[in-house]
Amino acid sequence: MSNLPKRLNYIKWFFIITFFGIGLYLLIFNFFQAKYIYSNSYNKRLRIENTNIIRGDILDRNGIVLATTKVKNGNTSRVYQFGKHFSHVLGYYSHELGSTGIEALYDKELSSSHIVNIIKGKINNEPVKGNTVKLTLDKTIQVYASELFGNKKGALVALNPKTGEILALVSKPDYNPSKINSNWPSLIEDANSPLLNRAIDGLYPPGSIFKIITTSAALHGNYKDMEIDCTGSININGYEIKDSNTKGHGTINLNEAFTLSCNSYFVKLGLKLGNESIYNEAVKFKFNRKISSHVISKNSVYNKKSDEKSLAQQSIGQGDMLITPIHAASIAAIIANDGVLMPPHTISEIIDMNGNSIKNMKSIKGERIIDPDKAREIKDMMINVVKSGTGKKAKLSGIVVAGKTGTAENPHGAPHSWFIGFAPSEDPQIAIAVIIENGGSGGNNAAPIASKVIKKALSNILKK
Amino acid sequence: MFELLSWLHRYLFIFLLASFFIINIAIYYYNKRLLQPFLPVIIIITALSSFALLSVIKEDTDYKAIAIALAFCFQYILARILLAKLLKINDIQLFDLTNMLLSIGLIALYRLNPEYAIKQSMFALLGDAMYFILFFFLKRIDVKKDYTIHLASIILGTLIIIQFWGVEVYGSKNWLEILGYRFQPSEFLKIVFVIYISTILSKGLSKNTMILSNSSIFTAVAFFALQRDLGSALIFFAVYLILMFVVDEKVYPTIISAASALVMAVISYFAFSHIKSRVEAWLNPWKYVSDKAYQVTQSLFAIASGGLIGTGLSLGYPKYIPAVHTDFIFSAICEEVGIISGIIIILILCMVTIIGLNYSKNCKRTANKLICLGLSSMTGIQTLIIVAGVLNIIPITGVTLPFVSYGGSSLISQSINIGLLFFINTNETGETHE
Repeated sequence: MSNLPKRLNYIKWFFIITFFGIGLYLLIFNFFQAKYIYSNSYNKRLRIENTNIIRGDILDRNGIVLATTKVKNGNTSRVYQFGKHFSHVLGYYSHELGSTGIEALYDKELSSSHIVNIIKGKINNEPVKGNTVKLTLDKTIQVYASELFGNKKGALVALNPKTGEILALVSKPDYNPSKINSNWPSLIEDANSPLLNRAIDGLYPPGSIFKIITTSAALHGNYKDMEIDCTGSININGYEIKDSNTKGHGTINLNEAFTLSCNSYFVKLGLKLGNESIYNEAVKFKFNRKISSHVISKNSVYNKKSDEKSLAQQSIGQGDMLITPIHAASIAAIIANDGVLMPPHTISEIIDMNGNSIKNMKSIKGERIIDPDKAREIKDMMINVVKSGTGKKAKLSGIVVAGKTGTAENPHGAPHSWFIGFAPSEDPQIAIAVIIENGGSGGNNAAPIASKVIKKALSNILKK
Repeated sequence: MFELLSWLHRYLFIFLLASFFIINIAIYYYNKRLLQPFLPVIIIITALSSFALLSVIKEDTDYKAIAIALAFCFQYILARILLAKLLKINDIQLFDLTNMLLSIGLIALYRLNPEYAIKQSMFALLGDAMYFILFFFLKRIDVKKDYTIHLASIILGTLIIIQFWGVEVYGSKNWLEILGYRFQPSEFLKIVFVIYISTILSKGLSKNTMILSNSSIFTAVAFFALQRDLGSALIFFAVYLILMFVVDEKVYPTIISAASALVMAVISYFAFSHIKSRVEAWLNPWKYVSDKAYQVTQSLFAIASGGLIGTGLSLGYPKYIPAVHTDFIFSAICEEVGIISGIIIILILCMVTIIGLNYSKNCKRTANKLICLGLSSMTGIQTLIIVAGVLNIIPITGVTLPFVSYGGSSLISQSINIGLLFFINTNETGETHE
């Protein structure tokens, strides 16, 4: 037992390291996870009303009040000024049901105030108001986009690619947060799941918008000069993939194939690149990963396969993969912002009752996803899509729009209609993703909505 | 008005805890013995200020809270003086550390339910008495004799008695009832077991000792698995592995034991439904938030809602967690007095473990070395298991947080644990003086 003292020392260090490790974990838990865990709707603390403090307001980026608390004869009620247009972003606040959305995520901030304010309030016997949460959303764009959807099901995410600020986040169908208690039974039974926030938690097959990622893999792998002869369909081990143009595109290069969204080309390109390369590119573009630490969204899914049939499907955005609309908008933003992803976020500032800023998001840092020159090459292809390809219906006079359409086959009926893009192409101010469930062709259905929202947003931004 | 006091109190509380810890470090690592008297002062201020706050929650002042605080301080100071004078313990730091934990526990328990705190302070008195009973008893027996067979029969006998006459509480059949009093024999068995394994292993790691110790641990763990006492099974095995690792000249016997434990764990996952459901709750807490993982997710909510400095005593909602006063007291403390307090509690328990390990280093006799090592590792392992459990780092296994959680058997057995460390340390240092 000669080495007993040495072994004793190992044990000592084992304990010191594990104890400190747990201490460190507690700190990490507090700074990075606590907020999201706290906002879980099973947390009963969200249903307790703080009787000392009147819940704070939620404002849009220009200071327009979106949610406020009215006090009448000692009874408080939460009022949502724009009703269902903001239902999924703001969420609801209810004693019976708990809360969701911003109401849950920023519950602590909304229902608390600095201790000095509370003491002053107690002494002067005046009501104390909780902190105000100011969003990055623009009320005008949000309401306009929400109304454009009409009765269609789907989602829209618009953001500023240079800052990551989310300007609009629409999910349809929606609900009225002010009447959540009385409508609850019908809402949970509704087969269209109006309570689901499709913009961040809806997982859809990406279809052809995924070709951006296949193209990026091709540019990095030096396949950009590949040409093929498109005959209108391609057969991979007995599985046939058709093109929208059944006569075929003839001899076609990468740029033309991207513009016309030629499936045969991308299937062949994918087969050359291989499973590994496309999977790596997808992960680089944040598939299977969190896109932002400031938004709780579902992760997009890309399951790595090893057979040619799956590879063929995945090269054109079908098969074993799913994407969230907010992620789709982020991909457009990456290309718009020369390959750098600014983490999407919905909060711009938290302000206390005296108007002092407690927290802001100015110090947000971007993450480089692809090289700037590759991003610019993809951008040029996306400009062509709108100029002369599948996305013509997104064209605007005087503004160059860049985009990519998608028509995603799915097991629930007609294909989903996708459009992602940004504008103006020379100095992008807005990146957008639109999905219409079972909407048919992306170019015909999603692209017009996207272009209208882009137009409204740009005129709104230029006004200021 | 109470809210303001509670908000201010949490700053004082964290300040007291932090200075207590820093002074302990100064005494232990920089030999600043002069600071020793500050420790009881801080403990008394912590107890009195917190209980004073708890006494004014309602309009009428609650004098019971003050009485408990005074009773705690009285027992602490009296026991401290008697330990030094009667038992000649020079190194009283361990006692200060454990009493700080005890006072934090009493504060948290009183806030949850005054009944628990009243009972817990009685258990604390019994715990103090254990030091003296232990010294009195051990001085009268020849510790150098071989008691392996006696110890083995005590352990096996108790395990069989629990198996046949055990009472089921909280889903584990590991309680005994004598004259209307319920207690958990496994808490005391742990200590007997450490002594037993240490005596066997101190003879060196031969084929015979290997077979004997290995068959003992597997028998014990099998009984605990049958009694659904996962926590004890885990602690026993971890402590056993540590003891093996230290005496083991090569490394592979330890690795073989660890590997066979892993195999047993995998088998038990498939064989026992309750183990399976614990593991599932651990892997997917949010999927099972309303059933299997209810307890651990409520614990996460509590820790998440307190932040660094907490909501203030009695301003949080720790009672949403089932069994908060025993296994989940750590979450309650984090919610109301903050994660910083939680971290300091972990560090204090780390220090209790490290001081015990250093006692082990100072021992001359191998058996004593191993006993000290086993006893202090047990405190360390138990803390790690429960704190990692309530944070959902590992699956939850019902064990108490040493000196803080409510529980008579647990508190008394931990006092015995510290008492044994004191006894061995004074004996060993005494021998060198002769």
